[in-house]
Amino acid sequence: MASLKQRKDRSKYQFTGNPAARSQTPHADSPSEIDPYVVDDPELKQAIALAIYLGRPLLLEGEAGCGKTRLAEAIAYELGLPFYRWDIRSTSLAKEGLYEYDALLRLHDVQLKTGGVESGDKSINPANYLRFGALGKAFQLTDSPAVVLIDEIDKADLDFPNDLLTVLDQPWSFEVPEAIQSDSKPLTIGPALHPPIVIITSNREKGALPLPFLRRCIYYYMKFPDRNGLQKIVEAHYGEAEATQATATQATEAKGFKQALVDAAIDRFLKLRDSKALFKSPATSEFLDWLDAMVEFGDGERLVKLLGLEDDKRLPFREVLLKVQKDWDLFSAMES
Amino acid sequence: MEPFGGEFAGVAIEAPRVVVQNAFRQVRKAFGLGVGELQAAIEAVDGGFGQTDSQALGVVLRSLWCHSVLEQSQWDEKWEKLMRELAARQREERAAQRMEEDREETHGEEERSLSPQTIPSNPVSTPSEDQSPAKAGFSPLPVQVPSLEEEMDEFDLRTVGPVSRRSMSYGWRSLRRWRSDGPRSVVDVGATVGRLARLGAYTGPVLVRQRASHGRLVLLVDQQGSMVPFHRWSRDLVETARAERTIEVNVFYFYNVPQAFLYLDEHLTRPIAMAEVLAGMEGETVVMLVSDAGRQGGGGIAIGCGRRRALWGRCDRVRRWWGG
Repeated sequence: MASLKQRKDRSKYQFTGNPAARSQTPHADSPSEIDPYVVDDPELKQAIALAIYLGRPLLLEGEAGCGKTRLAEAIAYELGLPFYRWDIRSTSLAKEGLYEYDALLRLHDVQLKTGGVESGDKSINPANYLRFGALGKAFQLTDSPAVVLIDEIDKADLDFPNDLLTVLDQPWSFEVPEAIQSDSKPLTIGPALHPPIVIITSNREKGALPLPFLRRCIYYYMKFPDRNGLQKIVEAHYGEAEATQATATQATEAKGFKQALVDAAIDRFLKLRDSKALFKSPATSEFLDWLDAMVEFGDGERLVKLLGLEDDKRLPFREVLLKVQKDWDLFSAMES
Repeated sequence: MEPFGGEFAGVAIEAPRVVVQNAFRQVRKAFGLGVGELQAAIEAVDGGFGQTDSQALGVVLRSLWCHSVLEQSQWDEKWEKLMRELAARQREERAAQRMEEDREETHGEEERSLSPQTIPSNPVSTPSEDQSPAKAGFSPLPVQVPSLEEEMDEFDLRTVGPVSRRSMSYGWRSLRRWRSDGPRSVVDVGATVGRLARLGAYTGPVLVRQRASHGRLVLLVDQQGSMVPFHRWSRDLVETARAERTIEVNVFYFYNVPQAFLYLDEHLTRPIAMAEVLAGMEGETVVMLVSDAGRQGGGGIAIGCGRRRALWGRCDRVRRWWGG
């Protein structure tokens, strides 16, 4: 948790969900561009504010494809903060988020030197062979906190979250035993002047996360967007494209046609998900791709009619939505 | 203490810090909370979160204290109940206070003229610092404010069934059988340095074989009938076993007692011959059987675990839980 002074400093970082409110002087490691991202729920905004203020990790759960991962990037973009992403694999260790030490490269350099090959003085200092991970980089920032995304934490081994616990708290520092300093003590990174804003995603595929870890987190369950949510996502994605139409008439015509298609597509998409007939439900990104495909390659009016038909087994561009053969067989393609 | 504009059912709620402390005492055990969570909630409240009304405060505490959808769904109900109780308590306290004030106004002189000896004090009333024997004579019957501490442990959200999912996941680890028989592609730093020290020159890294687990598990799950109350739990067992990527898991289902045929699905519609299942097992395969044998044991479930040869004779370890 952040100290009182740190909390006061952090209260200036207010995420509103509006990318236009981006800081005028973003950090060099802040994302330079971002796809539109809709944050509709005030409770989510409050959970983010709490995580920033208290210096506790924000644990996001929810089904795949509802936008958990991209939220961290949206926060970093709007606040102009550096963004460091750590994708967790089944073999990930907590230490890798802090640093990795290339012992073999150093050994190699030492050999070059003893063999008379000029390799500079790099090998004298073991710290030259450190490669910092997402948290390691975030701990060393002096001007602002970083946004660190720890993506899909439950892919890692069971003890992984517990190993992270000691690092993600006061005094926000860690030691590098491989790099012994001149005073015979290991190199210490931190205490961090600005503890990072940590966003962790999970879909609980592997079992419950440990209770001590959960206790330290702010928790938010991300629901799949409803009709209004999808509508806002579409508006956010297409709003910019429509603004670039050549004339006002063109833009209005395009908007009218697209709106009918969007409405029909959202209805059909939500029905498809709600029917629970699918082995793998499509996510929001697949929905947007599907809509793109229909706008770009489909016959608009015909599609609107087809999508509105009850119990019709024809699904246009099913290859964009359905990724499992069992689901694929439930629907037929639209005849051209 | 900062003023709190919150109210519930028309009754103003006391300062949020007090509300947080009260709420913490009541839900601490059920939600598995520690002092750190209380501290975080107080710091959030001091930082201006949840100050507007009781609903906003409830949402803040839900974010801080609930760590699953199940807990969140329980929280809203608990929070409303808490606020109702707080409002009722305050209403009672105010009513008692008003009554006291009225009584002081109308009977003040009369009370003062009465001697302490003539009217005995109420022996069961709650003693307070300013309560003189004279006042006690006209005080209303003592109102017993119900103790709010530690009374809401009727549910425990942390585990469902005799073993939690996390314990299951830990348990499956013991079935790992590591063998270094993969491709020779892992650098052994220690051996590399050792060889360099011996030879005095670097001759390249020492590579060792990759490790791979050869653990195998056959899970036989009694399904339907008297096992219905355990379905949720046995599903967790199957899911956590399948999520353990270092062991090869095969799950088969049966009804009451495994016989000549087992089933591949939990609805018992796709049969597979027992002989076929047995033929697929290797020496290192661990078999786990989860069953209540049609409630023969009186309603508990038992888990037996052993190697293939012990399967039908006796299991190496049997543990029994009662429930259902």
